[in-house]
Amino acid sequence: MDDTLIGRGLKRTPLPRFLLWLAPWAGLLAFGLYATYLCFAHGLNQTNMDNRFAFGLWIYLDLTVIALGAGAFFTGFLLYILKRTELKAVINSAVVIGFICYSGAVGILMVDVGQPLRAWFTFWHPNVHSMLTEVTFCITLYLGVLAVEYAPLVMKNRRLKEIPGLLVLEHKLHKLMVVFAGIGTLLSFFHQGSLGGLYGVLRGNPFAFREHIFIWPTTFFLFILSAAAVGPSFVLLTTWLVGKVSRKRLVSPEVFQTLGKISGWLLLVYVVLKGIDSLVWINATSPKTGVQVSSFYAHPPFGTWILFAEVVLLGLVPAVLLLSRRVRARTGLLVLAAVMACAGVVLNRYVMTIQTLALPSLPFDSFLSYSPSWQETAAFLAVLGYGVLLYSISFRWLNLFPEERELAAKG
Amino acid sequence: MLPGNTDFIADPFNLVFLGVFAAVLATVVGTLVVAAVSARRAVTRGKAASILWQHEFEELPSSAKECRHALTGELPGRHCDRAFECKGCETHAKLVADAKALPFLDTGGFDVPADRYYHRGHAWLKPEEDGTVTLGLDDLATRLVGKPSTLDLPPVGERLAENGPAFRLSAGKARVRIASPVTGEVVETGSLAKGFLLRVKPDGPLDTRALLSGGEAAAFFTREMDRLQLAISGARGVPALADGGLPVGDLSKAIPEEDRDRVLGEMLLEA
Repeated sequence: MDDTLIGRGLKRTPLPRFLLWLAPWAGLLAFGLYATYLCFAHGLNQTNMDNRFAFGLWIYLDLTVIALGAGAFFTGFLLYILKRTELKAVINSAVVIGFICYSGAVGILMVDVGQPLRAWFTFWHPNVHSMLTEVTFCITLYLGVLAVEYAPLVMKNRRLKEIPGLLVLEHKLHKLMVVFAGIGTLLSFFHQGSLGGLYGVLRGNPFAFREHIFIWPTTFFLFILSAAAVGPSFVLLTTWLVGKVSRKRLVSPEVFQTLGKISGWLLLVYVVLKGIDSLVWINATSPKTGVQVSSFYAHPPFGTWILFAEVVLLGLVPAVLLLSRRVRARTGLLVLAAVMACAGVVLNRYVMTIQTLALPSLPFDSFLSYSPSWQETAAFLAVLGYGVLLYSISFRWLNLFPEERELAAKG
Repeated sequence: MLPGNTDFIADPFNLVFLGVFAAVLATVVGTLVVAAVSARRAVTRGKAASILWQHEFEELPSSAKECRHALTGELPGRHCDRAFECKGCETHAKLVADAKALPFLDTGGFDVPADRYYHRGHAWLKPEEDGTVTLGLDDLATRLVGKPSTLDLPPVGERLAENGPAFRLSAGKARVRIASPVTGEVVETGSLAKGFLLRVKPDGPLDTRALLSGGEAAAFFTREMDRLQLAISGARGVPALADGGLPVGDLSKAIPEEDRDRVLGEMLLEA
């Protein structure tokens, strides 16, 4: 049965070994589901969040996976709209990663909201003045778009495609994929932006508040750009990782190099704009509110090193590395640069979520520390378990890398 | 505006905000509906087999897509981009009008009876006196498959579409479909022992323009031997067949079990 589901010419590990690989991830998922049950049954007192620290590990996770999952929309945009056909080699995998990231984010949001049965309230009673309303609308719609993009991969499974109707539907959907790629780009543009925007509009929090361009704070644009920049790096990284774990060549080195180059250019633009934004913030925006920027970095461990790490070490350095032809020619260095780029955006989301809330924003406030409860951590890890499970199953039974068969035949 | 929501204020900003999302949602749903309706129409109009074939063809390695006129040396290196649908191909029509009949040359050691037409997916078609046609596996495919472990023939009355699945067979871990060279209705099922696998009543006059015969078929089999060699040598650790000589009777034994599925798929044009 299992053999007949695996694509022709693709070699996969024997089923018992595959099940053994899945077991710990399934365990992680089960543990997280138990924590989720506790949150639903007993309420959000199971977490270490409170009225002051209302955004914790979960929102940080949401922001991070949504940024890393941007590879799906951006690869789709490059392939279907800009016709970068060499990215066909990774688009399927990018879609699966995007689907995992967004479904994981929506899942964890449901736990965070605490009353998932009332999730529809946000659509029927929208607070149109909240950036989060736009985020909710966009993420929900985009998850639907990702599901539509994922469905053809399933329909092309070796056994399923023998059902004529399914393959015909796949064919028709594929022909219309440019529409979904366009919508995905539009939705991603706005929700990535609004996620950044929601910090930039915090006028009462000088650490997060930024100057506005028309109605949007600069963080709106920086979030879009940083997500678009690291999306290809994350696709590169996951493809390389899957190749290492499965011991297979999945794409040609040229594909890695293309992803690296695209990521490098976008990251460079992002770092330049982020640098300008930081200088304006340090010299104008923050002083105008009566707070010197140095005070934001007076609370260990949030020293100035964190700004340096975010902008230079994990921003400028990987951008320069990715733009170097010599570095791109060496897979090890290319992957290292991609890891640094992804770490940069992970750190940025951490700073925007956790540091923003930890710093005092009123004279009588004090620096607040927060560490997640085990239930929060378990739910966080459940998303990781779910992601690995879904990706592993997809990799086994769907043709995620169209070049794999040809590369395997070449030996 | 929203039933049950008394707080909602229908000012222009709110309406634009919700309108944009409603438009996006409508576009997504509309596109899905268009795809579903179009797919349903294609299935009811019997175009599923053609779409399936186009899909398979796109995913085949380029070595499998060589134009029939490249096989004969008329247009060296030319690859087909029409899924072997020669009927509408202007180049083919021009070459057929200009060309002389090719001599029936070496067939690479394969048995290629001259009274049959050959599909690029290794099914043969033989016109019978009663207006029906018989279908079977050609010599290369027969030797490649060896003794099939299962042979799934369609029942009498089933309709076949040109390039759609005619029947399926499995050999060891390999499972392949054989593409049909004709559109029509199955009127009799045969067996390997009977010398044919299906008897089909074609729809309308028999159209063999996309099939190979005579000298073209001979050139095809000679070239297929090269392709087989490439497919087998792709399997790691297996030496390539030496040039020259004749293929052995049972080619299936030359293919390692773990590569059989891939090699059969590649040769019988199933991605």
